[in-house]
Amino acid sequence: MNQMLSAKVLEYRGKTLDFSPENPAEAKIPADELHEHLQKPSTARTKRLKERCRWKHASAGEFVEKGVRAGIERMRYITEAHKASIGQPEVIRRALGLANVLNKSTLVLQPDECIVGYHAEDPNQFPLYPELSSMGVQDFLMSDYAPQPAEEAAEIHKYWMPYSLQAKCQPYFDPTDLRRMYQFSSMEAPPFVSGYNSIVPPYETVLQDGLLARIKLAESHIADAQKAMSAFPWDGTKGLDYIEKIDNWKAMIIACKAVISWARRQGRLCKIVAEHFETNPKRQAELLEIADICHRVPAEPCKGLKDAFQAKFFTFLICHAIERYASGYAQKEDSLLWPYYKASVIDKSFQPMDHMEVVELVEMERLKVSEHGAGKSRGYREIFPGANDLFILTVGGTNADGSDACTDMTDAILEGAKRIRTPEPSIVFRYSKKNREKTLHWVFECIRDGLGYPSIKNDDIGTNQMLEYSQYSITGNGATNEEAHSWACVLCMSPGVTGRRKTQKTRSEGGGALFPAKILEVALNDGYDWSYADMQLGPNTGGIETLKTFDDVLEAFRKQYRYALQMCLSTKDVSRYFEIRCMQMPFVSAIDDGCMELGMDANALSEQPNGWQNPVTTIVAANSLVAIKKLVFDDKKYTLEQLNDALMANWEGFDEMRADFRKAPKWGNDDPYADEIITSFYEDIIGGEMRKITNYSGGPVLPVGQAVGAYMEVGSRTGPTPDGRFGGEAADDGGISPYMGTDKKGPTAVLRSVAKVQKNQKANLLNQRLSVPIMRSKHGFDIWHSYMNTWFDLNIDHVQFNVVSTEELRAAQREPEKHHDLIVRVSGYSARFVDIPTYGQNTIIARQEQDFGAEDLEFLDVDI
Amino acid sequence: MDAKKNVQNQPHVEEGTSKPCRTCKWQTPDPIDPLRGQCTANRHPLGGVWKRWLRNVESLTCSRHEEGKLSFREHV
Amino acid sequence: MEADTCKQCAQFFSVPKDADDYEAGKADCVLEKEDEKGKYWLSKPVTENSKRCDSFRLKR
Repeated sequence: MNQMLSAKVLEYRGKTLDFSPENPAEAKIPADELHEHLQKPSTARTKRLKERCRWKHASAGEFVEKGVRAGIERMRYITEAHKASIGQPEVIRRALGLANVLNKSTLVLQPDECIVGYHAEDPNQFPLYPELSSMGVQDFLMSDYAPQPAEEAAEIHKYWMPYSLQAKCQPYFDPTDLRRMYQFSSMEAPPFVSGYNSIVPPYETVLQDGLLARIKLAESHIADAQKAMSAFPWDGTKGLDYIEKIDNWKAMIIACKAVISWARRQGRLCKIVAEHFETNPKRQAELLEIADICHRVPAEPCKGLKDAFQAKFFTFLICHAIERYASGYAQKEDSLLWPYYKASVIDKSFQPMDHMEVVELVEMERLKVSEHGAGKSRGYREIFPGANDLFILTVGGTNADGSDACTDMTDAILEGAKRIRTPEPSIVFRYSKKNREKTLHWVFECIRDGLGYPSIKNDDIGTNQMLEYSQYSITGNGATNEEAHSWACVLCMSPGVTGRRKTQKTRSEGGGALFPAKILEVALNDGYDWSYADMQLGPNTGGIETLKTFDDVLEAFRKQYRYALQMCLSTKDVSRYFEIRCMQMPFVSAIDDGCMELGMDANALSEQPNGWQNPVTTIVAANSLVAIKKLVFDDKKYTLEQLNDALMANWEGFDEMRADFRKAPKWGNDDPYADEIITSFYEDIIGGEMRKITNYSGGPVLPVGQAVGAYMEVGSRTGPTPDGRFGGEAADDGGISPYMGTDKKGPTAVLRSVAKVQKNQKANLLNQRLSVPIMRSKHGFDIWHSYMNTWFDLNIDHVQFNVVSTEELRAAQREPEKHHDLIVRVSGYSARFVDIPTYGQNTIIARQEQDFGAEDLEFLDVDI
Repeated sequence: MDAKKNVQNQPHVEEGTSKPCRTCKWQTPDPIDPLRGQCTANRHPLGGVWKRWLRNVESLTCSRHEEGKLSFREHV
Repeated sequence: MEADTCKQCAQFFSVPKDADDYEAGKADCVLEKEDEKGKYWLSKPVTENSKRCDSFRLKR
């Protein structure tokens, strides 16, 4: 199909296509430093802000920049409040804990910034969460990043041992099972041990209502409840319900008041600096304006775009870093900000500004997120190498009436991202054929500049999925058609609704991974992990001598997979059980219309189910199964015992045999033999078995295949596999992506393979690496646009791109200090290439760089 | 692998060892349980890093022990 | 007499009476810091009777 032309000229439909750069000036830039020439901050201010950005990138568990470490204040003040509130209802204790942190913590202000606020006592620090996972905090205490004074931190850690979420949940599981989960090789550890979390904050209520209005609502609910409780005749079957509701509303009030006061204290800091420290009159005026904004928001509704950016950032800090830790930056940002864009840019009714000032605000917001450090445990400082954490926002798509949802706010978000070039936050673009071309050009320009984002999600698939899940709502109040159209990715890949209610509040609803490559390894070894932990990792399902047919192999895998599923999903729901009872989030509850109406905690109320689990390394397992079927059971060239001998030797002395297993059909080449087996594997086992599970919210759990950097970590904990992979080599880097370098038939063959998997999936990540010269040529947009329309017509869920040359990647390995602006797509997130370990860098270089041949262009029906 | 596997060059128990895995440059902490570790000494010439879990970083050792700490660039 | 409380410090800014967090004697201690990335300011709640710290600068 693909002629794999590397030449920059191609004959197509009687024309000679020339792939010289669209911008002729680029012809003079050496190929190995292109990305260092692409940033164009919109103002001198954002250029300065980027130059002094306090990145918090982590890699291999370590922070890349010097001086980054955990702060003590959050853990100190939450502990102080916990000790002082013994005897009070748990939800009130949580609110008092938040209030104590907000009232007493040190605030930070930095020069030039227009969006203010930070979550720790120093801009180089980040908070810890001793109430979540004791192992997670202990990891920091034993590291170079321990909070100071270390003795106080150790004392706090010890204090929380009996109260932490980990302590509450652990007794309900067999320690042997938990130890298997801690390996992070066949299953991700339970949320009560990892402490890892994510959330979709209902930003809309904060921006639209303001917190003073939320307080009034809670007060009025309390008054109504008290009235109902005193009404004759008393009905104990109903009246007692008000006790918990009243406590929840009281906690919401405490939380909202504390947030208002904290934001206003931040405003006071701006005023003090303006009046006593700052000497530049322009900056003084700016600081006084910010002081005024912080006094008004989030207390009052936002009136202009500066208000909205600030209220949103304060809300982000509380929901993601202060009330509780949560990764992510989930929001439908263009829709959320569009009313305020209209007020400030179009109507000029408040905070008047022009479009380029909006772009500057976007750049400043991106830099704020880039400075945001996460106090997450070691495993999560390993699996997103080169990034702070997972920060992903969503734009584009369609409105409930089917019209294009792209606006000038969408364009400003994309333009700001292109100009400032930061790895975070990543952007998801909801692709629909209704999207306007102007916005698609911005999407394309970000992609061809090598940012790795926007990653593209299928708008229709996401919306329909929200409607499908809503049918399982246990309250009968799942997403409406309008709400279904509001979806954004919760983290990298999985859609969830945004808006005033029904958003996902905890990762125990959806998230967490399991690893089919390792599961297949133990399925071939009676559940034993010989290659990493040297321990039993799953149930005894029989050694290879019991596997007489290919179906026996599949069934052994199925049993091991079911065990992993059962552990992953039951530990998540048990986490949820105790999150409801001891990890309440009164601020999040206060800003959710459902929680406010019903007097419920945000962890407890689930109106829209959104269950998922991430299978990562599925393609290594799937390609291995294809090779086993072909070479052992169909061709009978080898026995399973011989294969086992070769694997145990890491293929050493079995060169010819390894060559055969490597040559066996592989995913991503539109190969009927491989694709039939692999499609069935995805739909019947990976998705089919998962779908049998019902989670806390009453809905099914479906697979979201997305690797993040776990494909590297799990690869290093997985022995040699029957696809010809050596022990310790990285696994597949997507969710449904072909294994690195094995998709030899061109980009359209990949699409045709991927399109075959449709049943029982929630999302699947497809990584593609496109040719730099083609994308940067004058034909780049047309080819990409046709590719996207074909992708959409094939009903594929997702695709993300790397557009970066091997020369430039190699140059950055040689001289990292010269390549700080080189950003790459890892998997579900983007990262600064030089902040990734060499092991991970090599996996990105090894990805197949897809050229487009004439037959590909025909298949895509490119009109040039 | 860059060394033929044998008992001495793979992590094994030696109570009271003066060269525990904890101080070895090839060791990196366990991702979940900070009291355990991972050995990264098994490295393939093509760049693969085949980790081995270390149950006890105080009493395990091997002949490849080297004091120190690797840069993040040399880990996974 | 040598000043020994926060109240006499140049970095002591009383909380205005109309503030949500107003308490008699409560103030913001605002410190200017600098490291290799540049300048920044920190604000921490203190009371007028808090004992002076190493960053104390006498109010003029």
